[in-house]
Amino acid sequence: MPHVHKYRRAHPPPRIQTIMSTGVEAADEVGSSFSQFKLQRAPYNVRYIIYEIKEDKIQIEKQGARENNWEDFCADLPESDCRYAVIDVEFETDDGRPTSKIIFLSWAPDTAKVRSKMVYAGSKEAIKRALVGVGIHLNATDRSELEFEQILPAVKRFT
Amino acid sequence: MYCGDEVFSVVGDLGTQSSRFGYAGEDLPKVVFPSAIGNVVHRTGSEEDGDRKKKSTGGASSDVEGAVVAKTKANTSGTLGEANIGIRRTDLELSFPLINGHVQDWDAVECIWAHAFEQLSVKEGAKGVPYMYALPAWASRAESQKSAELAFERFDLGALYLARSPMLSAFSTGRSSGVVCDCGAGSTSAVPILDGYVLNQLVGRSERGGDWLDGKVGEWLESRKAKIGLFGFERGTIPEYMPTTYWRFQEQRVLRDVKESCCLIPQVDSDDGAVFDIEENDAEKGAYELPDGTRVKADKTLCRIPELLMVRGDGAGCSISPADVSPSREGAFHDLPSMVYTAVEKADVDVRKELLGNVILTGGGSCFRGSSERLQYELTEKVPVAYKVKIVTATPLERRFSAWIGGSILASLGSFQQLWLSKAEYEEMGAELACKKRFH
Repeated sequence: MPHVHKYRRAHPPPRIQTIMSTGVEAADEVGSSFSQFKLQRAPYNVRYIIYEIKEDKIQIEKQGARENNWEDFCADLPESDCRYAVIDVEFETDDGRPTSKIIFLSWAPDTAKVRSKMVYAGSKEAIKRALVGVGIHLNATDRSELEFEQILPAVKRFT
Repeated sequence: MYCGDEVFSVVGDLGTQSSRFGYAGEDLPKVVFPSAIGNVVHRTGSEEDGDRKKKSTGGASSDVEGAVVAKTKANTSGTLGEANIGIRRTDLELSFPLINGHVQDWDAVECIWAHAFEQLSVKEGAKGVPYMYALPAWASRAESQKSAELAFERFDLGALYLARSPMLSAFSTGRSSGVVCDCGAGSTSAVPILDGYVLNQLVGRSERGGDWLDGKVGEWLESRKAKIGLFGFERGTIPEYMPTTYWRFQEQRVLRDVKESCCLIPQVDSDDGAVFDIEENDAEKGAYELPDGTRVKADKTLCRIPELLMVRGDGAGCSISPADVSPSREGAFHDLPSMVYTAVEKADVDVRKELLGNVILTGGGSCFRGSSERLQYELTEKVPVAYKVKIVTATPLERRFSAWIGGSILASLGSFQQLWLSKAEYEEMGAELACKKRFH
């Protein structure tokens, strides 16, 4: 089932302008591993992938095994550093169908260093370009925004 | 592509009131000085008014050669460094590069840059220095072109990047979407950004900022019959031989200090909308001593002056005259909550939640006690219940310099070095095309 770009597509920037970025690019493995993740094909048949920026590249930091749940994922995010992540979220729609969605989450805790926040915020477009076909982009800036009850309504809008 | 690794770069942010310059990679700007240029006037007559004559500047370029700190009286012109400002001078006419956030005087901008580069020991002819310059969201295309011309043709810098200051502020708080509320000296603005783009059409802006509040403080002092006496002169009178611009500048410094020491933004009870009484809740009962020794007692009216930038256009719940808060003739709002609200209202429905969840409060004018709480309250009152308003703030120091800090980090990133506009590229494309391709 294709993931619909619900609002990103509907909102081209009003005037064509060069986006301000940090120049950080995603490593090749990010794009290739993500297409396998979407199909849940080995070795990327995992629950989530967490990315970090290292040596001016966006790289895979951690992967969470299929049986991990949302809490395990949250525990894998560092307390005071930023990360990007894609998660395969399983939930039940309002009419009771079990379904799953891939969401992209950028984690920028307020406690992180300014430098880290700057790099991750400025490189977000680069990783979004590499992760083709993710329709749901979420941001979290503290633990309360990471709670599944907070995330779920945003995800459900796309079902 | 410009490979600027290992080369230190300079980051600059020119404000209406103060300029901030420093090296990329550092936490705070190395030099912060008032955005004012002093031109030494030479009087031919004794003390006669109107007989002042500016020493012939001989065109902009030669004027700028002397654009250093006014060390001696022999200097024809100079930027006022913080050290030169406290002393009494009778021979300085001041000019200001920016008025209300718009460049008025490019020669003055040039002087400011020259002064900053001098302070940072970027000597003339030190070629190849990359320069990150923060421009406001409303800077026109002509303004960026002119900046590029200045950087490459006048200062012979190695590379340039023109960043938008709201973007830098937003990035430095870890957000690429949100509404950046900048309370500056010359203007107050709400700039919505989405995924790293500034939504130019939705920018809300008012030319009322810190300086305007200073004027209100002045009016208050006047109503108390308190006049500012400077340098031992009779209060409120400008000596004939004192250039007016210089006097006004000094006067404003005092007013600003009064404002910064006494003012705050009172809180509102979220249940019944009653404004908390300042006298009850705060110990601002002290007196402020003006430079000539006059003591004025800070009262409620004075303390609440900055509230003018926070109250809704209808003036609800405050004892402020409607003329001060009503929107301008063009329907533009002057208060921050309405600016944010209008910007968000004009944006598409799907992005409103994201914008309201990331209201980034920045700028020196946001450092009044209670600013973020009040903005939170006013916005929450305005928007539908379904939206959650979250105000993002940094420490007051980081707020004052947020754009500079963002620029400093950006320019020091290894990966960023490929994004500079190099001199070679500039020469190849010319100012117009280069700016169009790279910085718009």
